[in-house]
Amino acid sequence: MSTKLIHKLLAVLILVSIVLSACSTATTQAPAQPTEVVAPTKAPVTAAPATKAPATAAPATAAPATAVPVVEKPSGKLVIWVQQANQDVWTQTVLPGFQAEYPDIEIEFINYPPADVATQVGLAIQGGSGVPDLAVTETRSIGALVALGGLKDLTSLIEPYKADLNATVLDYCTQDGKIYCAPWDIGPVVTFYRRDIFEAAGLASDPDSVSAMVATYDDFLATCKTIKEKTGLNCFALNKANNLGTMLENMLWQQGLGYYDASGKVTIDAPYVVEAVKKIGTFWDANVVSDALEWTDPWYAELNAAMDNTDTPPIATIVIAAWMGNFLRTWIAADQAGNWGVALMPAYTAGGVQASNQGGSDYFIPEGSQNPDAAWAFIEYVNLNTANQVAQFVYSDYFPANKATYADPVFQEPDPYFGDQVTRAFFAEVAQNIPFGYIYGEYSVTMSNNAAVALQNYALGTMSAEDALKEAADAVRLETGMP
Amino acid sequence: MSSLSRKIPADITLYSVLILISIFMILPFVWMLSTSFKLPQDIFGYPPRLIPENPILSNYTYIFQEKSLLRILFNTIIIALSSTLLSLFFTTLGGYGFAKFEFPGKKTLFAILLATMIIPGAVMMVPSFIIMREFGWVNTFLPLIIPGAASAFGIFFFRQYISTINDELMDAARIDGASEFGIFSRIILPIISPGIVSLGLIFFMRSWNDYMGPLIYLKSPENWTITVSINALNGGAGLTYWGPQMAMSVISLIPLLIIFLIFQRRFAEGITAGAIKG
Amino acid sequence: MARAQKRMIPDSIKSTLVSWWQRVKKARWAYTFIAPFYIFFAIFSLYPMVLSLYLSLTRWKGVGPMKFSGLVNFGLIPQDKIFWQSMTNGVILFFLYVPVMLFLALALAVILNSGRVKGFRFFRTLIFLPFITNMVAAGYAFRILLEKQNGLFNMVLGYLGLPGIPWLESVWWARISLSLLIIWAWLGYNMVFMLAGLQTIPGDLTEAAQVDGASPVQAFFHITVPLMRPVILFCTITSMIGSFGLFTEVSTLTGGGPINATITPLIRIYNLAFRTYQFGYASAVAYTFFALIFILTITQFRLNRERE
Repeated sequence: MSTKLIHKLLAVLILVSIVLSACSTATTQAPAQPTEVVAPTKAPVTAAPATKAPATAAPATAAPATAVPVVEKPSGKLVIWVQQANQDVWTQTVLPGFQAEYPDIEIEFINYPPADVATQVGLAIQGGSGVPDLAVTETRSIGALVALGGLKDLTSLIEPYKADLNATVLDYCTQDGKIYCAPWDIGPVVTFYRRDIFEAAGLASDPDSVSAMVATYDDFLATCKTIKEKTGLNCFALNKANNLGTMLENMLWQQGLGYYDASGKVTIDAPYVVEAVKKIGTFWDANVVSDALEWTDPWYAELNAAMDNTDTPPIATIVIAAWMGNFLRTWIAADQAGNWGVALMPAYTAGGVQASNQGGSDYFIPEGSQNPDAAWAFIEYVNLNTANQVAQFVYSDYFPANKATYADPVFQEPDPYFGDQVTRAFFAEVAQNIPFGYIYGEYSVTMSNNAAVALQNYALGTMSAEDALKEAADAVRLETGMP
Repeated sequence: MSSLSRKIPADITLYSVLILISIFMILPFVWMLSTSFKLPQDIFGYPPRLIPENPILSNYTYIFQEKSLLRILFNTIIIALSSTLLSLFFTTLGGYGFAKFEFPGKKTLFAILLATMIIPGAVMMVPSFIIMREFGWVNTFLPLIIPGAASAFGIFFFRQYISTINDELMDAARIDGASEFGIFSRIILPIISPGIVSLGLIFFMRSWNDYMGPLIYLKSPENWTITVSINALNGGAGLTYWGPQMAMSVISLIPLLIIFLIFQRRFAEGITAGAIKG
Repeated sequence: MARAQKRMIPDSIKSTLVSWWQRVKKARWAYTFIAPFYIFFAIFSLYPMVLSLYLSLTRWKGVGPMKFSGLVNFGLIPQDKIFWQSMTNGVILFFLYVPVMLFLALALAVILNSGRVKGFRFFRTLIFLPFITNMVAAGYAFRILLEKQNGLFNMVLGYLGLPGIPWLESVWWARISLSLLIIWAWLGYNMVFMLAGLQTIPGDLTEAAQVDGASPVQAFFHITVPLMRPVILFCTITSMIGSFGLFTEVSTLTGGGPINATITPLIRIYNLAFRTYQFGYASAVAYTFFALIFILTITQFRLNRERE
């Protein structure tokens, strides 16, 4: 081949590559101006889905069921960023109904790993382009997005449903009196326990008795010691080196306290946190906990092990949110059906609150959304409609933030996996008692990370509780500018 | 006789060292391959098996069907090819300029070139993101192709290479009336083509294996490259799909492996040139 | 009129300027050829660096106006324990893997180069292979191997009757695991450098030493190593800069390690910028890091020059 031809080919190749790469964005380029969301029950609107409300129309407050007939249903493309597990829940329950109701809405799902949805949306908002039309993320991460700005104000749209939504969790969606997200589920914390192990230790194994046995953390410790003595098994998993800090968060949340306070001060080094950390230490000292790390294979093995398994001995309890029930039932501990039961979590002090929150997720619409009407239609149908929420709950055990669902008969059904215990009603009762905890919020990521590191330092004996927490608090103060 | 009897145990030691290190080098690859054919319960099963008891192909079908691996490979190839070609173009040009021309300020300009090589990327991570945002390049391939195009290292490399070319070739061409660019493309480029291959391989590999760039700039999964996709299979809450992750890792290695095995010598040249005064 | 103007500029200066301009004109092609680099540099390196300098003087969080806030950020850096931990980690990691890796690289190169083993090509290829691996795949592969309970390494230790090692769950073992990964990835690369360097050393030197009665090991340490100083220095410096800039390896293998024991400065900057959106503060940290690395590199050069 002549060199001239080679040069021509090369030039063409370079040009083509550059052009191809510039045209690589398939996602929406978000326009900079926010568009106003129009609820379906407005006065007749023109064909464009997002127009400014006519000045004379009253703000939309009617519930969809009894509204003026919808003139123009939302249509067009709807790009939703969500983790795979959540999408599966929709697909298996409410998605067909939604598509039937809104045939002209074309949904495109994009999956991210759970922790990443919030990060990616945040970066997209920062980057000025590529935001989705709708997204679902964990409550832990929503505070940062709300504070970042760039989320659509849903206050007027969510007004009809506000009274039914769990106030504590709705708080995380609120800034300056405006609501920026719609809660899906919450995570009422309970104690899952192994009936067979309790019985083997000579203890009662019904929920009420067990709740009494773990009424406070000191009682819990005593129970754990008994179990260890009688069966040689560990009480729960409490990793040292890579501890995620969930036990600490639960202890603070249930007291209505947390990593910061109402005045915006960092409280990670407050005396009550030091005390909580030391209380956790008593479990390590008593040698009643295993070293498995949450969400790793050894941990799953512990939860699924039969009592006589000597390679991976089982653990007797796990204090975690209600959504864990479904995980246990389906992919973690299917072998132990009938052996698990549900009791209350310990109170911090005698007679104190036996409820906390761990996890939960929320829907939100970024300002740059190209189809806010369809997005709200999705939220309203899938999430705020009571019957649909119940359907999703039954499938997934994601505990609804919508209190109106608790009246549904499914809540009274016994669960064979948990030995026919009526777990749903149990969770509902716990949910009513969740106080406001200062754990999630704008800076929850750095707060949780640093607090966890402090706990790790304490666990490994490299620092005293006071020093470790002071270092963590200072790191947070440095990064966030909070006092 | 004594030297021979001293030789054999010494040789055994040498061979052992080589073999042991080689095993260590190969082990992760082998394990990656093995895991990619295992069922989830066998991945951390006991006892560990090199050849899985029940080999499966579903990890591979999963990543091709559910995770659009073809699209991802396409993205990765486009980015790597574009950045390599663009870089080669500018670095050969720049190297030629510094090697064969005299001009005012040459010393200073070259010193600046060398100086730019010590700037760590960390300093530019944040502001690069911000200006890419201004340009509207976030979530496109452009930030991964354009900025790296004029690589100081590349210009340095080609300057060395081209300076060994005899000046007479170019002078003769000039007398014949050839344009400067013509001399570059028709005379210089063919002569340095081994160097182009060497450096091209290095550029290609760097782009292919890049993780931080795609992590920061590629937002939508359909624009991802293979490194980010492998990482995305590591989902919290226990949903780490080790099997598919290893399958994708295996696939990510194959193109580079093939290229490397064919162009071994060029690879070595590309790395060592410019560093060893030979 | 031209004549009048010409008389006002001294002839000597005029001729210098003219000839300078003629040289520039003659070299216009050269300028065209090298211009792209400086244009790209100006847009994609210089401008960001200047912007970063400005950002380091603000507390900007990515949205809204960038408000000037002086040296506040730099005042916070001394108290930033996590940043200093990351710098310490860089130093620790350097000493953990660089000596071992370079020694092995040189030793392997010498063995292969000596001609006493067959299969030069085969071994060189095998040992170099990890270099082409992307660190995401490698990091996760190592994670599977190092898994505490059922990873291959601990299983093998179990067969040998030894207790399992908490590879990723202890501060020092996590660092060692990271070092193992890095050595695995870069040994072949460094070995190739050493091989190239060895080829510039005349082979008869070591032979002559052995005829004089020196053992191969003595010849290695007293002749080969000193002669390879330039290569070793080059590898050391690149490794040093590398050990502070580890990103992918840490993200995938340890995630920052137990108690921030494996965090590197680059990861710290990344987290500050892209997790908590502290663009202003992150820029200040980045510049501090740059300055420290610069000082370290210069110091290394000076030390080496003194020894010569």
